[in-house]
Amino acid sequence: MPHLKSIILCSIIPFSIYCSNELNNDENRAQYLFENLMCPVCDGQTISESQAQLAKNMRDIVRIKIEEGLTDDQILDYFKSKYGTSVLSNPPKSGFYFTVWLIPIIVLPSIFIGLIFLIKSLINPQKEN
Amino acid sequence: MALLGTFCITISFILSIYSILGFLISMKFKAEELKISARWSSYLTLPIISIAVYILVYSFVTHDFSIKYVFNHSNISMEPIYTWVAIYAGNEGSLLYISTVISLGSFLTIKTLQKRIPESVPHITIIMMGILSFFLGVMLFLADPFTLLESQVQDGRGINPLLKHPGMFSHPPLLMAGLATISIPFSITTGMLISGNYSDKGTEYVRITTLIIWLMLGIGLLLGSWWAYTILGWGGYWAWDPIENVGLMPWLVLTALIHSLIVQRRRGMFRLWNLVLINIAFVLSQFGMFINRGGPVVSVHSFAASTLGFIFLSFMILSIIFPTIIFLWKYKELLNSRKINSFLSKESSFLINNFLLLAITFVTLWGLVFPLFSELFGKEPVTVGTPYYNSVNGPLLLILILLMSIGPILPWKEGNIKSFFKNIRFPLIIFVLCIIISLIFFSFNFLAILAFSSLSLVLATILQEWIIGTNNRMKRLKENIFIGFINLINGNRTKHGGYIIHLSILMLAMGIIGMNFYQQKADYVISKNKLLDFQNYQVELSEIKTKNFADRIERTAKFNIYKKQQDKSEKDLEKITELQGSNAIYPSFNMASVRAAIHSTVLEDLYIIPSEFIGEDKLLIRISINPFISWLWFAGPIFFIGAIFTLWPRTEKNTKL
Amino acid sequence: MKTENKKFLLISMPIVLIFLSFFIFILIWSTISTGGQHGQPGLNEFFSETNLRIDPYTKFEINTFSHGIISSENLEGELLMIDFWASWCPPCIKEGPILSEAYKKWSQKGIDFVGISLWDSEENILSFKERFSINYPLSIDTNGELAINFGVRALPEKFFIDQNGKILKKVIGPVNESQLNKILEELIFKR
Repeated sequence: MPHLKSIILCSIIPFSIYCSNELNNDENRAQYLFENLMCPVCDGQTISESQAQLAKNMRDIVRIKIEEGLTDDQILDYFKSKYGTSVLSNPPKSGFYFTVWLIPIIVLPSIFIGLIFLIKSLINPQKEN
Repeated sequence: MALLGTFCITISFILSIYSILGFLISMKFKAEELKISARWSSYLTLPIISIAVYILVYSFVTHDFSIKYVFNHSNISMEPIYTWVAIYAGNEGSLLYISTVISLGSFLTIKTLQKRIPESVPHITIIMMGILSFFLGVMLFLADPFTLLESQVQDGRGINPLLKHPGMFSHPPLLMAGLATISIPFSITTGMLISGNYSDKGTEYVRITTLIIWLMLGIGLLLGSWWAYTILGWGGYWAWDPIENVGLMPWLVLTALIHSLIVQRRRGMFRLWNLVLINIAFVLSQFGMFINRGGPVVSVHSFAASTLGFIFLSFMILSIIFPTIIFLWKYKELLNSRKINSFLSKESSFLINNFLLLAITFVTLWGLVFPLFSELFGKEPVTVGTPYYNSVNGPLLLILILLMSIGPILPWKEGNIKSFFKNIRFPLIIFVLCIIISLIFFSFNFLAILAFSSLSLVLATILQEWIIGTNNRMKRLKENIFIGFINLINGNRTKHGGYIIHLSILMLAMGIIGMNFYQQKADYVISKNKLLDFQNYQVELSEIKTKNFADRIERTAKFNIYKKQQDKSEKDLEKITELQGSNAIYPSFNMASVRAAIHSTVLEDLYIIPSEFIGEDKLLIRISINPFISWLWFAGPIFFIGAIFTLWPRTEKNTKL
Repeated sequence: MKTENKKFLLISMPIVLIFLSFFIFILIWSTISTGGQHGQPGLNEFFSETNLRIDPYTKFEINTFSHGIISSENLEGELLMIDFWASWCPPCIKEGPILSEAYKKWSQKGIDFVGISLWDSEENILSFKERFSINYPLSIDTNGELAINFGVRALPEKFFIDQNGKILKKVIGPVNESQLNKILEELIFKR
């Protein structure tokens, strides 16, 4: 039976494989920026998803700015200066807003360590019965 | 008719209050007859509230626009079939639906538990009826679905166009029912705790209801993402939107609960912890109710938005305070002396599993609340979107998947390292092999390869369990391979049903990983009868049609999809399929409803959203290749089968190996 | 063994309770501050003055139909009012005659108006111009560049700009005659 086992198990491998052609860089960047900008007039949609006129215009502007040779950060900053921080779909990783990242990064591991200690304190070396 | 509806709500409100008072008085004065009457009055809420539902549905179907709710959520031109489900398209009607579900759930629960743990039934019923009377009271005093319209009208406003989709028949009712019925296991445990009879019989019923609720929520969430994928045309399946998150969080907590309930069942441990989990799930479901109906966060789909925020917030706070008090008062009864024996045991792996699931819940909640938090500190408004959730939850999910491969191998109580390595040896080889092969032949994103390979690791452990188990049976009992396998998984339904569910989670993960790492998308302007090259496809816009309906202008685009040719001889294009996508504009809602054109295969979906029609023969499309996305949808049935398999009552004794 | 459990509970309960009460506090506070409802997108139905989020010296260049280019570099009048509007937007239509009248009165005092129409067609703009006999320069913003430059969210929105190109005030929503007069008087009186 080890045969059967290895045949079945080896057939899993192909699933880990997927290949596709990379698109050209500008289009990728545009799509990336679309997903990182919120539509200011729609509740909770990025401009990538939104059908609102303003979102369409913002997509156009993003493309124009890419053609002008601006970097991703510059483009995001441009929109931030116009519509405020909430136009970014992610809080900036600086200052006060860093806490949104900080809590998961610090709190979770520390709770996890606490949990390990808890299990350790719960462990009873003697077997029951 | 409308008057009768309000009357029904009033009566069932009075009945539920009577039931509460009846039980309270009967417990004080030991009046058994009053108990029976109180119990029956709780049963009676169900038929009476069903009449109210019937009236509302009837009003929708017959277009009775004298009722304000019907006027607001339907019109004559809408497809008749949607009038049957328009009842839960808005705030008031969905409250009625939720009350009905709670009433039904409490009827079944009380009926069953009356035979098993009669001594706790009064307490349980009081809590359930308390919750029910809250919803009925809100409807009665603040959001009556049967309020009449003051002026006479010919036609209604119509249903929100995004709701016109087959998903409407299953996603909202399942999700709402799931969220509402979390109150049932909550009432049972809390009721048992107050009555001082925390029995295993009751816990078994809790386990069953939890599984059912978990199944409903899981399927509901999945159907929701399928809906978003096909109609909303957002090009995604999950946006980490607040309203989606409040549905996901209770599901995650219930997932944790289901796992640790296994420990309680098997070893009698974690009783206190499970109670805490149920309470958390209940609070989160109430939190969801609050966010949905007038919460302070911004969301894409606030279909049930109302001004009742404060009422639901108060109820949520109550649902935190009340269980906490009960808990602090009674928790000593649940303490027990059993201990974990070793790190290398199922018990500790379940604890880590619980930790991870709660961590994901917590991180999601934190992201949801953070905008409020930053405003509290006087900062600029801020959005917490998909990138945050993906980058924070992604690693946690990966660890969870790795744990899925280790957990099942570990034994109860105490394992030793030697046998652990013996069991994990084979899957680990597969894991390493996967990584190496992918790195050599398709060196892309290391994270993606790691994620995919961990899926293989889990799959390998499950298959190994099955193969070894079947093998043993074949040798010992001389069964053939199929009978052996079926008897094996039948022997321990909880365990092997769990494995089936794990398989569906793997498929789910497959789709998610594929979408996150390998999705390709781009915008193009496509003109009629010209070929567009995209990845392995060639897309041709064959036709644009415009149709005017009473409530909408619908523009349909037809596409021919060809296989990409290596050499450019245009004559022998190999046609794969014809697709159709549409973009309907509803002027009265100032809203567009987009249906994507989807060509779905096992490996990938070709997904085309007609975003903007430019003139008569030009079209702006968002075209994307969505790898493995269909695995997400296949996971649904497997998940369902696994859960039902676990739940299926035992009829005969099965031989255990 | 029980003491350990107790110790654990004694440590964790206060932490959990503090977290919970903070959580509840945030929810209550934010529900109060938003009044239980968040803003509706699309049109600004109500008049209000708001804080300017963008740089007050934002540069712009407006290509009008009839009056050439108006840019932040060559401002002539004492004050310029930029109005973002559209011919399909009901509050803007209501505002049409008010602005037209106001311009007749205020243009003599050195105040210029310019209307920038969004998501509109030239045809509709011109018929709007005729319908309300609008004399101030109009322009169309085809790809939203100007609107985004000014951080416009919904229509109508107005910006009041002094000679040096500094934005003095931002007003959202439709104005009536007295509101507009009051704003303009205040802005002129200040200098």
